[in-house]
This record gives sequence, structure tokens and C-alpha cells, in this order.
Amino acid sequence: MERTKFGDAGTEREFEELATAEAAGLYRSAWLLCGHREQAEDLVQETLAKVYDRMTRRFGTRIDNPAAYAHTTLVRTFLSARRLRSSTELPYADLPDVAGPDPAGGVDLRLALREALADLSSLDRAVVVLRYLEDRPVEEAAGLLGLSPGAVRNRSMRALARMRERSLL
Amino acid sequence: MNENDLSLLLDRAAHRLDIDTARLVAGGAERGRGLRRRRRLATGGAAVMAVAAVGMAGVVLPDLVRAGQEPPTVTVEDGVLKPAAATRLARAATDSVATAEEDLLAGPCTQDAIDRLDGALGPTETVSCSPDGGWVVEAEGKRWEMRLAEGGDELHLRPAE
Repeated sequence: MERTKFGDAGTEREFEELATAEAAGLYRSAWLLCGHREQAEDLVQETLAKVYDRMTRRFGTRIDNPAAYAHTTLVRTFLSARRLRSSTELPYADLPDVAGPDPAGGVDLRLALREALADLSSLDRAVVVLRYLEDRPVEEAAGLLGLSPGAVRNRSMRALARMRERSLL
Repeated sequence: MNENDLSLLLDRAAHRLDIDTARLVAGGAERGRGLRRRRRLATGGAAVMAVAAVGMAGVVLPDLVRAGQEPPTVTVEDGVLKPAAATRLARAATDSVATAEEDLLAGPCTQDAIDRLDGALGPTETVSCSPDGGWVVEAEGKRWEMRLAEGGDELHLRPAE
């Protein structure tokens, strides 16, 4: 196995290239998972920090697929943070985003989607993001989330049903 | 109204987000450096703790090992020695053997051996050599000839003449 060198300028550059290429995709997943811009930014930065730490670790083995590693880290960090914060979360009575003029309907779509996703559990949202945004196979999503493939399928169906109820599909 | 529709919907909504990539990357790198600094500090602290633990083990373990050793059986011949004193003598003999890694008492009595054994004895005991090279210990106000059996598991005491 190839090993990274601590403090190697090349590793820093590799990280910047990876982060620049993946930040947008990570943010989209994070936004769908969190439903809030600030929380999504926080989640992406925390994820990138972990990736940075992993890539620049002195005795760490090189990551075979850094992009996949980053996306996996994002979902796991989200679920981990949710578990820690679950007892302190409070539902929002009013949505903080204010919809302005939106001729193309983009804001309306996002708000409706966010509300629909907010009805789902954290794990269901993670299933939705992995399966339908990141297009990962059932088995891969199951392995990543520590669920059986059947459970992933059930959660996927539940999410679809919820979207239909809200007339999003 | 199927899974493909949901994929398209998510993709359409997500791609309309306004994303500040530069801020995300800079923030992630900054947090990553902080994480690495904390990790290095934690690693350094753990290393110091490990060195300290090894040092402590080096100091404490020999005592623990010695404490775990059974003192030799004390056989008092023709005399009376209080159990505490007998145990202390036996422990002193064991300590001497363990510390100097040689069976002092099983060997001939010399001044060098006395010096080394004396440090292991309590303040109430003193050792000296008999004219024939045997060991003499003075304890409880009396003088005893002392002989440690080979292997250090049996200590014989006899009133010195």
C-alpha cells in the first residue's frame, strides 16, 4: 500500500483539487440531508476537514477513491451528528428562507422538496440522497448505512410515497 | 411517478442551488488543519503518557514482583524470634537476592555482601560475618547465625554463640 507523507505540499494540492471538484456535489447532498443552507455548509466543511485530515495523515494509507470517500464521509457525519443532536432539535414553525420572485419555479420546488424531506427520518433522507441523487446501488447504500438491502428498499418506497402525497411526483 | 422521477426532481432542485465552492474548500481546509493540529497534540500527549507509564512501570514493577514473591520459610533453631522479625528477615533476604540478582546469603559472608544486604535489612537488624565466614544477624537484641538454603526458599536461624 502506498503511504502519504505528512506535510507534503503535493498532498495539500491533491486535497484542494479534490475539494474543488467535489464541493458542489457534496453541498447538494448536504442540502437535501439538512434542509438548511447553513447546516449544509457546516456539514460540507466538516466533511472536507475529515478528508483533509485523512489525506495528510503521516501513516495513513492512500485513499483509493477520494471522491467516493468524501461522499461516504458526508453521509456518515450527517447521521452521526443527527444522533448526537436528536434530543435537542426543535422543528421550525416558519421556514427561514424567504421566497422571492421566482419565474422559473426553482425556489418553490426547493421549498416543497425540503418540506417533503423534512417529514422523513434522517436515515430515510440518507437513503433518498444515496439512491436517487448520488445514484448508488441498493447494496452499496445498504452497506454504507449499515442496513439490509430490504430495509433500504422499504425506506426508498416510503420516501417515494411521501413525495407522491405532496404531489411532487 | 417512479424512482427516475424522484432522481430527476432531486437533481433539478439540487442543481439550482447557489454554491460558494471557494468558501467551502477554504473552510474545510482550515478546519482540517485544526483537526490535524489537535490530533498531533493528542498524539504527542499520548506519547508522553506512554513514556511516563513505561518509566513508572520500570520503577513500580520490580517492587510489585518482589512483593509477589513468597518469602522464604524461616526455621528458627534453638531460640525464639518474633514472627514479625522473622518475616522481615526473610523478606530482606528475598529483596537482596532479587535486587542484586545473586544469592548473597547463600554465598560466603564478605564485607561487600554485608554492605549490599545491610541496605535491604530494616533498621533493627545488623549483619556481620562469623569467624568461619558464616552470616550473623543481630535482631531483637540477639545474635543469630543465618543460612539461606540453596534456591532462597528456606532461611535457617540459630542463636549465635
